[in-house]
Amino acid sequence: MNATVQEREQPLNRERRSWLSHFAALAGAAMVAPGVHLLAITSAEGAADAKKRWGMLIDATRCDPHCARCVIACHEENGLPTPTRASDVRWIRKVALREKRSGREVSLPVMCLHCANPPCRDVCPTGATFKRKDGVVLVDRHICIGCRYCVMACPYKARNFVYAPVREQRNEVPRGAGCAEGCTLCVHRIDRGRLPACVEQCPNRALIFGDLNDPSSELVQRLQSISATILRADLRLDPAVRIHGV
Amino acid sequence: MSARFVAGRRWFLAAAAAAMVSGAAAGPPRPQVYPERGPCLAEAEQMRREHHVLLKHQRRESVREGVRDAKVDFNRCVACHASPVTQSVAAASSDFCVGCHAYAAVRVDCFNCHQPSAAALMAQGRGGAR
Ligand code: HEC
Ligand code: HEC
Ligand code: HEC
Repeated sequence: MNATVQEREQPLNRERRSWLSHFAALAGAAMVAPGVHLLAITSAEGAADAKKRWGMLIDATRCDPHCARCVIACHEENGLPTPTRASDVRWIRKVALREKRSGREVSLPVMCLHCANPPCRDVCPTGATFKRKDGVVLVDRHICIGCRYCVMACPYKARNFVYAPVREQRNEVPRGAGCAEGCTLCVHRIDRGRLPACVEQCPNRALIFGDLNDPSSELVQRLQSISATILRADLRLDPAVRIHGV
Repeated sequence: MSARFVAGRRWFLAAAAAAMVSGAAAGPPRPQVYPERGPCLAEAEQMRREHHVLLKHQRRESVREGVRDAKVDFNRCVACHASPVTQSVAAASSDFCVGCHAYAAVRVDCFNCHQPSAAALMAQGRGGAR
């Protein structure tokens, strides 16, 4: 966001939706063969694949200024409370940008951009903030000490700090007080082949998720045909989330 | 992560496990288990001694490598070990993850973040890890 635009946060219109039907589909996945008794500690192959680089295109030309479905989807999926104060956690937020001279306004969601060279990781004193092999930037909250250096280091204001104790966690998304956190690209979903909640819920297909290393993906095809902006390209952080139409 | 325990915890573990195996009357509270929900990941003897090693190994694999739906998934412990009364593994002093730890003076912070209640899992039909 450059000097000619103003940024303000849009209010979140909350609407409730049942997620149970989505999770019913997962029911079978957690099964283990009956009668498994001896447990060897092995290094299992995880879903994080070094050949992939997950990314996203935010198409502001398709984003409806009066819609906040992506924000609601994120809060419901990750068990985040409805934000009321500035200190409340927001992993994704809708912003309106206005060009001062022409008065042109665009609305778009912003979140952690999952940089290839993340400054949040560089300043983390414990190694809690890390970049997964597939490019997703995460906080390992088991070793986060809550120093908040990452919150300060992020030029996109994408990192949050959890001040209040958390009681209403979703089982799939543990989180708690005293740690930094931010958008995880819904790792718990993408590792199981599903889309991030915001992408799935966007009614206008303004969010496109995919593998930046896969030339046949819809994401890369779109990026080839439009001129997407890299926010603060001068910082050379190489974010995986690109923005079109600002 | 700040887990605290008393010095000489190995001794405590040995004493706790030994007392549990022998079922001594003055021993520790025996956790309530529900075999009808399915067998544990390993023999009870091994689980008593190594559950924390397994959990700590798994959490690294899951968080860093993206290993999902593993045998040692935290929510699977919760689904199988939640009490039918509180639907939780850590709400009441008799709940599964609480009694032994109190006896052995182990304090875990896992439930600051991990949901100890299986109510939502049950609603999704995942109770008892089915
Ligand atoms: C499919 C159901 C199931 C799952 C999943 C499960 N358990 Fe168990 N667990 C049991 C049963 C049944 C027993 C009792 C076994 C026995 O007494 O022989 C048991 C016993 C134990 C014991 C020993 C209790 C005692 O009697 O002293 C511990 C500790 C334990 N489990 C921890 C865990 C942990 C930690 C996890 C998650 C990583 C877990 N269990 C997952 C069913 C399960
Ligand atoms: C049979 C009694 C028993 C039960 C039931 C039990 N624990 Fe434990 N737990 C222990 C003991 C004893 C230790 C200490 C082991 C040691 O230090 O070697 C321990 C240690 C731990 C630790 C490591 C703590 C540290 O400071 O390093 C974690 C984590 C843990 N337990 C999690 C759980 C969870 C989660 C459950 C419920 C699913 C559970 N335990 C149920 C007896 C039990
Ligand atoms: C400060 C918050 C926090 C605390 C405290 C915490 N965890 Fe976690 N834990 C997380 C987050 C966040 C994840 C990542 C979940 C994901 O990627 O889907 C996680 C994942 C895990 C996983 C792998 C995923 C799963 O569901 O099986 C295990 C195992 C685990 N934690 C065990 C523990 C144990 C044992 C403790 C207590 C000693 C603990 N955690 C304490 C936040 C926490």
